[in-house]
Amino acid sequence: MIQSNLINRLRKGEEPAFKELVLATSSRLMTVARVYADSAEDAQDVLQDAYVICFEKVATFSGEEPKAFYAWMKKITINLALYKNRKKYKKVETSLDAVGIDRAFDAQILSSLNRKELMELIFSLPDGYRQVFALFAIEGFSHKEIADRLGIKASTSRSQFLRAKKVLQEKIKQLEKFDVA
Amino acid sequence: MKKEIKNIFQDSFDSYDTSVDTQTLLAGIAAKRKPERKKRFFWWIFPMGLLIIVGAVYLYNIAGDNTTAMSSVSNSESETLVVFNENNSQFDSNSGTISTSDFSEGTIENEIVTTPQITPPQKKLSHPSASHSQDNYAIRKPSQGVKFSNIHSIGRIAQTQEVVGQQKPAAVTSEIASTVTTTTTTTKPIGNSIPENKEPQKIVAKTLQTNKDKREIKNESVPESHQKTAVVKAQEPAAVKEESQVIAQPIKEDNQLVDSEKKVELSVKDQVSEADKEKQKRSGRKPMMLKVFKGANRSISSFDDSSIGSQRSAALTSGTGYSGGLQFSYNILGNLSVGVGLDYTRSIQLFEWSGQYVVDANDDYVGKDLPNSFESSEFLFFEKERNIYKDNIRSFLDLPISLSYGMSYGKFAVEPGLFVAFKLAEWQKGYSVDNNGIPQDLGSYTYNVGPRMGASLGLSYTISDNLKLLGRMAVSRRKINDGIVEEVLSLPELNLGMGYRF
Repeated sequence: MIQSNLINRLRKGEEPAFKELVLATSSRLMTVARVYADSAEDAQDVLQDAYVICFEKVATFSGEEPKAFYAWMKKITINLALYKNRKKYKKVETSLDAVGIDRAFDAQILSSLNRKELMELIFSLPDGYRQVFALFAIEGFSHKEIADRLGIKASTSRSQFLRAKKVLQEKIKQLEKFDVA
Repeated sequence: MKKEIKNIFQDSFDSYDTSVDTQTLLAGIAAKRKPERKKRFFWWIFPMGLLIIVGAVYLYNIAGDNTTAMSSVSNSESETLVVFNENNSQFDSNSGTISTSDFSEGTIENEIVTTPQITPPQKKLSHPSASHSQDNYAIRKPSQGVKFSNIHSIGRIAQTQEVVGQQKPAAVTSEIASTVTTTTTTTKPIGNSIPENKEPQKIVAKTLQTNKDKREIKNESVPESHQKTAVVKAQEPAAVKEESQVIAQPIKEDNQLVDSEKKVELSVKDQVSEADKEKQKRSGRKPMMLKVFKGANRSISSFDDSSIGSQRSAALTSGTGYSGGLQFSYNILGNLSVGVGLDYTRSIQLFEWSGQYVVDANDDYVGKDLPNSFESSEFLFFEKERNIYKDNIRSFLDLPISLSYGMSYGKFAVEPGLFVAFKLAEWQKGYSVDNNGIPQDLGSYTYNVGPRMGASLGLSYTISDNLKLLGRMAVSRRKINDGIVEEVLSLPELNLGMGYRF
């Protein structure tokens, strides 16, 4: 995805390298932005900002590994998206009810879905649910860390996650019905 | 959530490509990117500095020429040698002045001859009857009646000439001419300014100034004790007519010629000495001085109010360093001096940091800037404790250009000034802190160091004519941008040094 010499070229400020970086990483980072931003337009805006920051701060990145560089960019994208929606999470917090449903996903059903279907499911989650779900299920943050990051209570993070799971399960059910039909 | 399900989501998420209109994205990025700040390159400062130096050296050389060529005094007006008839004059012993009706009529014209016709006297002329001093006048100021047609005298001829008894005016003037023999120029009196038969006259001639000096002549015809150097310029005939003013004063009273001669000689010396001071005072030109400093500094870093600035401020403490430099100083106007030289500054600050950094499952260093929240066994990133306690060392080689104003109090002098210094080279070693509060190797940054601005207060004590003991307090600031945050490095300095006057 990112060539090893690209990082050095970026550090030198080569304009073509920046374009190469955008072409190489934008589709993946757009996925990240779509998950954490509240709309497709917002995601586009977040992604643009993330690249601008990458360009400006690339000199501060001292690693050499493309993997680490991508992780760094991803982190910037996530932080930006969450920062922009921070106020929104607090509003969501007050409207959420405790959710008692905790039925596990059926791994077999999930495996049967292709990536696009799975990501569309995640994208379709309401704001607040989606971010918490992604941070917990994909990034591996604890509810306490999510709570710190989003400025909400850990219990709220937990309830949002459960709510998100419930919504996903319902959507998966609908897909199953649709497939059966 | 079962790990298997988590992995399904993670795999999907990490490998899913969302379609992006890259052209729109690139256009948006381009619009949001800050226009690159134009680097202020002070290209003009170097030629300007060079110009100042060249100008100062040029002025210094001119001053040097004048000092050597002229016996001592520089003056914008001309004073010239005049002999006049005492019969038509009245001497006022109280005021020491002469009033004469013929004075304005006295005219000396010079003409250039191809071969010197008059051999300069080899020793001081004297005459037994020279004790009669009614005719001995010191002519200090040019008279309105004196006209030089071919020679415009410059510099000053400060010497005593005595004219032997029956010497005719031509002889008198040949005495004058003797001072310019080597220029193949002689003078001849015209008009009635000098009578045919006169008692010996003692003449103190001062030929002052010129701004058009060309030739330098040493008068070897005059005895050594009276020997002075004169600078004479031959002007173009068209430009020759220049009127001078003369004020005559008697040198001494009767019957004490020998004593009075000595007095006159002393007087001449005094005049020379005073004239030296006068010249320096008027020209404001002081000799070029080489100053060498060595001292200590205090490094104080300050950052903006951002969180990064706070982190760095917490990590970096103030420190001490040392500095040294040499400077050439030239007086350009009055007490105003300009200096240029080289400064070497070394700042040492302690960098103290404790925290964590990220390694992968194999304990390999992954990235310094991953946030703590990435701590997760599933992500295979771990944090490790890390303590840094090390000196940050920065060295700068600067080209300072200074402007200072000197005030003398006896042997002491105070010299406040301002300076701006431009980096010629720089070295750094140590650590900084990045956006995530993680230490970064200072050497990995690209530094843009701007000019160093500062003010200084110099103190000096004159040890000898050429040697001065110098002290200097200076405060300077420079901005350093390491790509993350802008740092302002303040350097108060205390220097001691020596100055040598050329």
